[in-house]
Amino acid sequence: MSLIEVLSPVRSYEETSSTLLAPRVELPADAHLTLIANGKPKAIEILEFLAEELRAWLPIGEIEIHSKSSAGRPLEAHVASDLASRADLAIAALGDCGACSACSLHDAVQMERLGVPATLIITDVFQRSTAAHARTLGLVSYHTVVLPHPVSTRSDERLRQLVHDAAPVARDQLIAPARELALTA
Amino acid sequence: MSELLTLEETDVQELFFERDWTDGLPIVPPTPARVAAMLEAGGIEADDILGTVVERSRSVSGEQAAICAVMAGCPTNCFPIVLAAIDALLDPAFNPHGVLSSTGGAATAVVVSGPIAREVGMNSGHGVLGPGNRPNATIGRSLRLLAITVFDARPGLMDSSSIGHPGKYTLCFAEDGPPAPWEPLRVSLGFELEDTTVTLMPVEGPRQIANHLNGDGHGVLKTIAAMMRNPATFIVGKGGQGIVVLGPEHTLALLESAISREEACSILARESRIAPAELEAAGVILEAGSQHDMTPAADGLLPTVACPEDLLIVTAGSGGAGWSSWMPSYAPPRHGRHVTRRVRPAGEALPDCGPDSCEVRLPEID
Repeated sequence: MSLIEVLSPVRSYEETSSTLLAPRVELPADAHLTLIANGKPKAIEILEFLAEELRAWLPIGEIEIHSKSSAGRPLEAHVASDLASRADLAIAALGDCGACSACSLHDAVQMERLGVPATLIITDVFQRSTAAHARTLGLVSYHTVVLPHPVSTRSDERLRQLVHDAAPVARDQLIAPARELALTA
Repeated sequence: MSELLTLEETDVQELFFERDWTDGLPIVPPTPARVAAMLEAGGIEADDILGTVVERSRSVSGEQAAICAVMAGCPTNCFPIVLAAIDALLDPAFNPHGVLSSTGGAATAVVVSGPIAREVGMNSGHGVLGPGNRPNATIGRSLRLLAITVFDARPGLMDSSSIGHPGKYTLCFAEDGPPAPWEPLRVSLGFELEDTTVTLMPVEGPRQIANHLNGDGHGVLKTIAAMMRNPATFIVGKGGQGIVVLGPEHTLALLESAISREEACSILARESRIAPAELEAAGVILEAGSQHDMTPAADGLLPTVACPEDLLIVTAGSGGAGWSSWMPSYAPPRHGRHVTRRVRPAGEALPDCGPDSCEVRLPEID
């Protein structure tokens, strides 16, 4: 038996500085909800269904839909800043593939860091990868609204039902006190 | 500096497998001496930063690149090619974050064009996309090991490939310099003849194209276009990119029909357009109002490649019955496109960019 020295190909990365969710403050009477649609089939439908559901609980006024040109890229920083400047809440969708779930996560986290409570909609098979991507963004974890995969082939009627069932989760993620959802590295 | 582990030599392979540090194949243990030799061959330092992928909060150091090349079994004289490929991989236009994450299962195709490919013994001939040549196999593998170890692109984790394909182990080959009057790929991309370039494209698996009897270049292009416009390919109807590996018989047919590379790209872009009805007949649902709007253009057709520049024709392979290959990109180019870098020989000085800004006299403003 002989000993050998080898270099590890993997480095342990320090988590970045603590990243907190945007504070969950009382919403204005006409809260501006920004929907970040990544162009995946059914993304806009699902976001609009969810916005309708949230109106039952939240004082939502204007709804803005921002359509990304690529699901495989996060929002550019200046676009995120522009959206955040008028948003009170934000929801990104649809994370039903690898690149699009990673980038929708990025979009939601960007909005949080810009002070806008946010969440994202993914499908169940991407829970694990989304959690892994969250760590590379310096987060121990990040919440998601999860729908059963696949969604792009489902009827609008079925999607409405799925979104109806998931809506309370989305509501809580958007308005629960920040201390309960603090993300610390 | 990476962590230095002291192990029983017989335990190295199992430890690397247990920690998911490999692609499933055994590796060459990255000893400090081997890594140092690789760094020297590349003319870089261990702590040089080669680039970053912002979306993953990751940067790539010279040492990490060298470790992956050693693990892959890469000859040291190929490391400058690996470094150029890493430069291309880290270009935001390539979109490594999306490419490495996608369910589309893209491999990173690496095409090397130029004299260094010959010098290091890359294969551009027999079985060019297959096994048997160390530089081809290990340059491509170095990139995959980097994706796994530095960017956590592990299947089921941050590589969400649904199916993937064997090219994800390695997919690297050299151009066989085309007969005159065609110019090499690097020249057609704007580089000098004496340069060596590395071109990366995120691709689905290669599809072999057979046309054994038609010596007419236009006939050969029709066959290639027929393969390109297969409705089951993701980019068909949406407009992507792709690489045509053009075998010698097909190259000869095009040359004898006086078809230039640029003309061939234009013909293929045009002939691979497809009618919506043909897609629907194959069960494809046309996307509308999504990121891939499939509304036909004025000619009533949809693109397979958006424009001729999205096609790369690479002459390679050996004499035979008449074979070529088609590698479609994993998605339209806004999700990641082909990127080319010149291979910088180790120790090459940075270009002289003239006097620095302190020495420049700016014109007076009235």
